[in-house]
Amino acid sequence: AMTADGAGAAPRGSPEASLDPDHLYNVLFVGDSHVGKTSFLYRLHADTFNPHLTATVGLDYQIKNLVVDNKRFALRLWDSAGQERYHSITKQFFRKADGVVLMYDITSEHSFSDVRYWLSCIQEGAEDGVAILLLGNKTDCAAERRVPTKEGERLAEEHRLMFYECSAASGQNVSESMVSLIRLLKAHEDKLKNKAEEVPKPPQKKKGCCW
Amino acid sequence: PPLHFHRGGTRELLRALQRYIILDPSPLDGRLFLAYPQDSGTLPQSFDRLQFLDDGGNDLVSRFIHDPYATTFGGFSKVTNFFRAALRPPESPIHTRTPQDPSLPPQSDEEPGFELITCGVELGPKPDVTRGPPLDKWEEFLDSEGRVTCPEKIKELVFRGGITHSLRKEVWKFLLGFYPWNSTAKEREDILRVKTDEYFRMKVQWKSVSEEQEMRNSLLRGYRSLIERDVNRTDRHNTFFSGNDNPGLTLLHDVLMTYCMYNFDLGYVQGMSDLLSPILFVTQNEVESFWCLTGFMELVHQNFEESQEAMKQQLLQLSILLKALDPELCDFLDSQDSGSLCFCFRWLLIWFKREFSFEDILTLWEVLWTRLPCENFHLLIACSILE
Repeated sequence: AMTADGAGAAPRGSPEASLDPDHLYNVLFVGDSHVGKTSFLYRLHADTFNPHLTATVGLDYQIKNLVVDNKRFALRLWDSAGQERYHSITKQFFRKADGVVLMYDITSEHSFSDVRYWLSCIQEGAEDGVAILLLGNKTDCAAERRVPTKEGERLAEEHRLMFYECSAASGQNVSESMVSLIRLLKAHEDKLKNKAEEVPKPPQKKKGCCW
Repeated sequence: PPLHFHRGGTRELLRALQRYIILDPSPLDGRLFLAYPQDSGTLPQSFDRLQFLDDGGNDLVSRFIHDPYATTFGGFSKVTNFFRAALRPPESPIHTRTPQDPSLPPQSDEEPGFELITCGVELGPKPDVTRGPPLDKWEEFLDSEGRVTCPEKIKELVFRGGITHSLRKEVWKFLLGFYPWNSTAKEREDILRVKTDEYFRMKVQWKSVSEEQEMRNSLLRGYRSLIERDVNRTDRHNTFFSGNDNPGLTLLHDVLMTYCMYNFDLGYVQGMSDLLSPILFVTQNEVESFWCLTGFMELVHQNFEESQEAMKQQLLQLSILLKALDPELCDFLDSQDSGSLCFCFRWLLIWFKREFSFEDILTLWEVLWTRLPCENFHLLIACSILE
């Protein structure tokens, strides 16, 4: 019961999917410490901003149900610790992920330059063709911006990533980016399904325990 | 009237008595036995504590009294092979003997006299356990020079009932190894003086690093920036850390920075601020909280190591325990792709700090610091939460 609980409730005003979703995706949130991964998830879940959320240690997770294009989706959202010390735990999870949200802080150049490090982790650990969303968080802190939108766009283009700037504090682009990610995940799933129907089923990589 | 046994024979007497009555060592004094009539149906308390399995009552009870260690672990060995892996302390190798040693049977897993059952075992009904009152006396446990006369008794009382809040400040320093149990009051004054000097010597080390120096020290810079961010988000609801410019925040910051100098290889790892905050809240003292933190870290530092081996090991042990205790839950978790128990990572990393109220954590930690009844007791706590 512990696993399915977490954050079942949807934010106000957002359509709630029923208990039995049509599609279930594992989405892993990565990025440097303090870029706002937990705050983003808190906004998605409770539609408010909490400036005093404690640092994530190891992994945390919640379930988010959404209806997109008349289909019910359940997202299993894995929140990871940003500190490098915990990366060996996080890395185990790349294999499980259908999608990865890679977040940086637009007020921190360091967090942006670490995006390349995180991409290499994804490349190393995740399944080929995993859906990746690059998110530049904290657009509400416009005065302290250090990473221009253009740079984020350029990086996303170079690596063919979906890209948004957002703010967990104001709520800007929080649901929008998730809906886009869902569409991407769905398209990816459909493509895999079609492929599977054409050729004899390839041996699937074993999913299961994370160590 | 007192009976004297000049040539031994106390054990024989106890054995003979056990044919007629149930004997139970007093929880307050191991040398004192409480006698129960056979038919009273009262299960001895100290046995209740360890009764994992229903093993037919009296025979096990008397063996327990006769030789609690062997009987308890003999009982454990029956629980299943699963338990053996989980109950082994992390450092101890599986086989301490070498196969070359001719005097010992080669690599035998079976201890003589103990039965090993490898399949699942039905656990007996759970015993009723009641918590004791918190430890609320201290002076009377000290001798004239201030030594703690019976540390084991203190630990037992703390294990059963925790510590009354006003005494925590004193007793935690013993539980966390800042003061040895057998130190005199005078020796403790000296320890405090030496440790105070040592603390401030290490504090000066990071305090005196100039901005330019720090520019060339990415490790220190990294630790500092993480600490600054985490101090701002650790237990801010607690009055000791709430509001801006609260002196508690500075203490949290300074003690964590000094810990980096104390153990630079480990440095600061997220989660450590959670370990320090209750200690700081109780001791209300920079130097004492620092040394208590080092004592706590002695128990858990492996949790924070880069390889995360200790954490993986504990999660594995937890899943082994759970397989024996609640196979159905295990199956369910497996079906939900959660059999690896990753969601318990945080529980074990910082000893449930984020899962309970601040007040409850004070009690839970002092209970766990006694290391009773076994080092891996926190895994059993995790099991009971899952239940």
